Amino acid sequence: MDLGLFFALLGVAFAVVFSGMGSSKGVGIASEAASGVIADDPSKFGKLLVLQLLPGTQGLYGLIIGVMVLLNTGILGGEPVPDVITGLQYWAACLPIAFAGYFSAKSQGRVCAVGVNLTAKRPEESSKAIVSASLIELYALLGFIVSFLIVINI
Amino acid sequence: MNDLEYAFAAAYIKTIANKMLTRKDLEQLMGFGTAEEAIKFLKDRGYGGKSDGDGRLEGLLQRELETAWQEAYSVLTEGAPVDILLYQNDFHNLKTVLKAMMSNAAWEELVIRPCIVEPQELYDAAVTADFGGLPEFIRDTAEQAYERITSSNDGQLTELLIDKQAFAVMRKRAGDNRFLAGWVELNIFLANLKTAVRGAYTGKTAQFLAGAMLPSEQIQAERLAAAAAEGIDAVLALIEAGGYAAAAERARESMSAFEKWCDDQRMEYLKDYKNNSFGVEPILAFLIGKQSEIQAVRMIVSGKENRIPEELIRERLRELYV
Repeated sequence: MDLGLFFALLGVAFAVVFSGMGSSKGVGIASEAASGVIADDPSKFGKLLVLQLLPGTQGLYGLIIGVMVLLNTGILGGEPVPDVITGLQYWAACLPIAFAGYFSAKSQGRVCAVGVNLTAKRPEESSKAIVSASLIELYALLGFIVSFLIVINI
Repeated sequence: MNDLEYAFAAAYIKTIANKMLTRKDLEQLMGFGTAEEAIKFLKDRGYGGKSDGDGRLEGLLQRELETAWQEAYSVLTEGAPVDILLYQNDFHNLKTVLKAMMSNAAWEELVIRPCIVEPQELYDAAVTADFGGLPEFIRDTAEQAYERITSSNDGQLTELLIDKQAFAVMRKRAGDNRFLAGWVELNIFLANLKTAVRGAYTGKTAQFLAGAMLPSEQIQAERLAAAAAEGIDAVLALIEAGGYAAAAERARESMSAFEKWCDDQRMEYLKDYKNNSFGVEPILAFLIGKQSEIQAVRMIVSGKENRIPEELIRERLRELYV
C-alpha cells in the first residue's frame, strides 16, 4: 500500500473515530439523564428522545465524510490516490469534522442532559431545551461542510 | 469526582421534586377548617406513600420523609455523601439515649429517623459501655459523651460536647465537596448565632458561650461569645456590623422571627444548587428541601390541631424549596 492511500485512510479513521467518540459521550450523558426522568415518568420518553439523539448526529457526519473519502480513493470506487500530497489533502479534509464533531458532541451532550432536567421540571418548555442544544449543532455542521467541500474538490 | 456522575440520579430527583408541595398547596392546606381535612388533602397528594397508616399526622410525615430517603438511596451509588445529612439525627439520638439511660426514661418515641445507626444499637452500646460496635463517625463521640455524662451527670455539658463533635465530624465528611463544606459552615455559623442570641437573653457567661461555639469564618466565635455575655444589644450590634443586619432586625422582633431567618438562610443556600443537572448537589438539596417541606406541613397541620391562629402560623412559615 502506498503512503498516499495510508494518509487518506488515516483521515477516514480520524473523521469516524473522533466524531463517533464525541457522539457516544454526548448521547451517553443525555440518555443517562433521560433515563432518570423516564424511570419516574415514562410518558416523557417522546419529548426526551430528540434530546438524546441530537449529540448523535456528529457521528453520522463523520461517517459520511469517511465514506466519501473511501469512495474517492479507490477503496470503494474512484481513482486510486496518485501521490502522498493528495493523501495528505484527504487527511486534512477529515480534520474539521473530526475535531468539530468531537468537541461539539461532548458539549451538546451536556446541554441535552441539562435540557432533560429542564423538561423534567417544566415539560412545556422542552422545545426551548431542544433549541439550546441545536445551537451547538451549528458548529458541527460548519465542520462537516468544510470537510465536505474539501473532499469534493480534491 | 467526575461532575457528570449522578446525571441519572439528578434527573430522577428533579422528577420526584416536581411532586413537592408548593406555596399554593400550603395556602390550600392552611385554608382547611380541620386537621383531618388537611391530612386527607396530603394523602390525596400521595403523601406518606401507598401505606394507609393510622391516619395520624406524625406517622404520615415520617413515612413521607423515609420515602424521600429511599428514593434518593435507590438512585445513588454507594459511598455518595448523603449520609452527612443524617449525622445530626444520629447525634441527636445519642443525646437522647444517654439522657434516657441516666434517668431510666423511655426514649423510643424521642429518637429521630431516618438515621444511620439504629437507636437501639446506640442504647445498647451506652448501657453496656461498649462502643466498639458503633460506626466510626460516632464511636469516639459516644464514648466521650458517655464518660462525661456518667462522671458529671451534666446533661447540658454533654449536649454541648456532642453538638461540637457532630459539626467536627460533618466538616471532616464534607471534605472538598464545595456544596457540603459550605452547608456545614453555614450551619455552624447559624448555630453560633443562635447560641449567642439565646445566651444573651438567658444571661450565660462568655466562657460558657465560647465553649458552646465552633470556630466559624463569618463572625469569630470568641467575639460573638464575648458580645453575647455583655448583653443582647452588644451581640446584635456585632451581628449587624458583620453584615447580617436582617438577622439582627429579626432577633429584635422575636426569637421565632430570628429562627425563621436562620432557616430561610438555609433555603437561600440551596437555591444556587437545586437546579444543577450534574453532581450530587441537587439530590442533597432535594433531601434538605423535603425536610423543610415536612416541617412546614407539620407547623400548619399541628397548628390546626391546636387551634393556633392562622396569622401566627403564617408568620412562622419558612421559605420552601420549590
